[in-house]
Amino acid sequence: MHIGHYISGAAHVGVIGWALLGSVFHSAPEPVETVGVAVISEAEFAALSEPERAPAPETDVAVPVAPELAPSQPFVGTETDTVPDQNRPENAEAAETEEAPDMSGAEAPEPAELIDQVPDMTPPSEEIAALQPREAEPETVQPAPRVAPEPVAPPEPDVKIDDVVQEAVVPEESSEATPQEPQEATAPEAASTEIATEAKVGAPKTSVRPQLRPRPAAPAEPRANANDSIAAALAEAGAEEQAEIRAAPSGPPLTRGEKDALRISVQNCWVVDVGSQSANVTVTVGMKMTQEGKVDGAISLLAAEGGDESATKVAFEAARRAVLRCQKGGYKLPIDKYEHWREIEITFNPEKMRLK
Amino acid sequence: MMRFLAALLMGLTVLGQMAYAQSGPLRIEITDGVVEPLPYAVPDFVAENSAAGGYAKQLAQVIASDLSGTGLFREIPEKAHIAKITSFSAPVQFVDWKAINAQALITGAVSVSGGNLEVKFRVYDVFAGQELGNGLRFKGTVEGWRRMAHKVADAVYSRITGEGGYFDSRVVFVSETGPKSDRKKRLAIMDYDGANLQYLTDSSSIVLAPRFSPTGDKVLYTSYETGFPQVYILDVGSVQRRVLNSEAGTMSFAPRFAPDGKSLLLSITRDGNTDIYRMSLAGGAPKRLTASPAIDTAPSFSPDGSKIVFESDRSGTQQLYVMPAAGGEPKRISFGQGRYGTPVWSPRGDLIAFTKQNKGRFHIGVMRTDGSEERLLTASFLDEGPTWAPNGRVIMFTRETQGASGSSALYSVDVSGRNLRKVKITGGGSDPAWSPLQE
Repeated sequence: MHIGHYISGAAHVGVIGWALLGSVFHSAPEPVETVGVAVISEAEFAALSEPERAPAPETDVAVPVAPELAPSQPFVGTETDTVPDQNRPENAEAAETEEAPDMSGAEAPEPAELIDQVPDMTPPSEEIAALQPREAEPETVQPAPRVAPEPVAPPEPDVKIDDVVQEAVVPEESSEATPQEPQEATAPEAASTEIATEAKVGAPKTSVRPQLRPRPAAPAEPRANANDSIAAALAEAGAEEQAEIRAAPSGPPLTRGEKDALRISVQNCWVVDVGSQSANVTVTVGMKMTQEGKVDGAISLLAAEGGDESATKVAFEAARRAVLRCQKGGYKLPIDKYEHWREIEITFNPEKMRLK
Repeated sequence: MMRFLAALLMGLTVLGQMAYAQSGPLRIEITDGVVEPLPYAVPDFVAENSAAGGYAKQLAQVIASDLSGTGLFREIPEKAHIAKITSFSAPVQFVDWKAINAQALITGAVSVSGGNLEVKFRVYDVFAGQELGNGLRFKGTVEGWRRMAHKVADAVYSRITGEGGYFDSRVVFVSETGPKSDRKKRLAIMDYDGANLQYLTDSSSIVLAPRFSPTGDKVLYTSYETGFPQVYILDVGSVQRRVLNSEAGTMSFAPRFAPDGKSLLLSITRDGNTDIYRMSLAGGAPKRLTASPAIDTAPSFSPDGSKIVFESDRSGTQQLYVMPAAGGEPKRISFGQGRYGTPVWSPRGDLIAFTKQNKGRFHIGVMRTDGSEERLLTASFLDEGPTWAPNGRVIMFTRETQGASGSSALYSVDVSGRNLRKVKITGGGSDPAWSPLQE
């Protein structure tokens, strides 16, 4: 046997012996608390349990008595009402008596001398022109991204804010072997009492859209008869789709205001003959645009609805004239969003203008 | 669970990207345009020989008058032109015409050989930098130079608006001269613009309501030559006429040709009751189409000849009704306040023009053929008797001024209610009827 068994057996024997011979299971009775009570009668109990009564109002406060009024008699006499003279000031009398100033001593001004000379129309010199006060530049309001215990002066406008303040690094001309990339100076963060979260201001304005996996070019399978045209149409559609995928712009689209500006520019030149059949036709035209905001190439008719061929042709020509006539030097569109308006589709819907 | 949350997050991200990004071209919709005349330039035509010199300017003037008279076009005067057209075949410098905001340019040339005139022209969309259609050439006699100018204007109008023109058309009407108490009335015919006025009858008897045949070579009208109204037909070329309904004890009036030109509608009063009849020009008894004790009159065919619109007081007041061409139960189409009369179906078939009297004022108006979308185009002391231009775009009517010295005149108005104009005629006029386009 192991020594552990001996120890365990001795311990168990000790505990059992102590339980049998000791006073473990002899407990003394707990003391009982007693409370003295008094017996009361029913009347006394009712008197104790009755709710508090509100104090009775005092009635011997003197009530003021209204004085007895004599019956009013209507005014039956006649009296001439004097209409105040609204046009006459209160001190009109004084004004009337005021004497006119004596003008006898005044000398008539000499007639202006007529100078028959052509005024000098030479443009002013630059010094004179420089005297003109410059218009104050509008204050740039820039939202602050953090709350700081002490306000810090806002940075200069158009300064890029970085998390880490650092000095501007300019590449040294001598170090040609390892040219250092120039880096713009950053300004300390401005502070304000408003919290601008990163979600509001920290999100990138533009992001590069991941390239789609290029589709393998479908091998041209020669087909006969009617299938050729279908295959050609499918191939053309596939090519258009590919082109669309390639031309898919990234970054924020045009704002509503920018779109409205374009729409208003075109609609000002859209002449609608409300009494003609072409006023029943809705046409959609498409065009490519140059970066200068001018139509690049021809305007094409993409869709038409609501009229016969002749009316559609007239509606399209009116739409085309509107676009071409109002472009002038180019539509005002944000150049940084050129990818979004490289191609434009405009629907001309005259429904609101029709005669009803 | 984690996979589900990841998928949900990804889906929300994709939706956000879709809302953020713009796919495809920029798309906008324009629903408000401007209603204004289209500016155009029509420089003097190029005279290709010395004999044509006198016509070069006149042709351009008549074309400009036609186009500008529609209210749809505005001529840019010649003094504002930067460039001059000296050769019909030379290329057009569109920049010069863009600079003066000419949206359309009409160039032409004219030559005279013997008694014949040859006119050719082209129409350009200046801002598109291309020609609208192909060039056209007309030949005719020198006496017909105005008609050739009208034909050029019709072609230009058609190419720009997509609708037929109405300039090479004529109007027959009742010419009125003399004071109101002793007014002389006779049938007259003229170009739509008032030129080339000719009289078809003398003033010995009262004449009313002339109507052109579909071919424009005959005219129906009502004359009091026998003391009571009777319908006559007159050949415009020979000015020969004959009475159509000489039945004793009857009165006939308000005639109008059927679209086929072989029959006509008219009102006949027999035994004190007025109804609408149809009769053949070849002869035979008139066929009665209405049978009510009311006054049924002023019938007008629909362009396809399937229906007839007319006025009747069968409801107690004068209203408009439509019935099948062979007769049958009429359907009332006018329900507005006042009285409606003299309905005329549009050549397009989509509208009915009418005269309306309400609260002491007269109006010329149009409504859909079912009576909906009523629009009043004019308002005056007395407007009545509308007639449609051959293209269904313009309405001509009679306007009479108030008082003992009041007179009747012819006016025209665009179907949109714009461009109200007084037709230039010598003396007064009433009851106009527009011809179809001339061949």
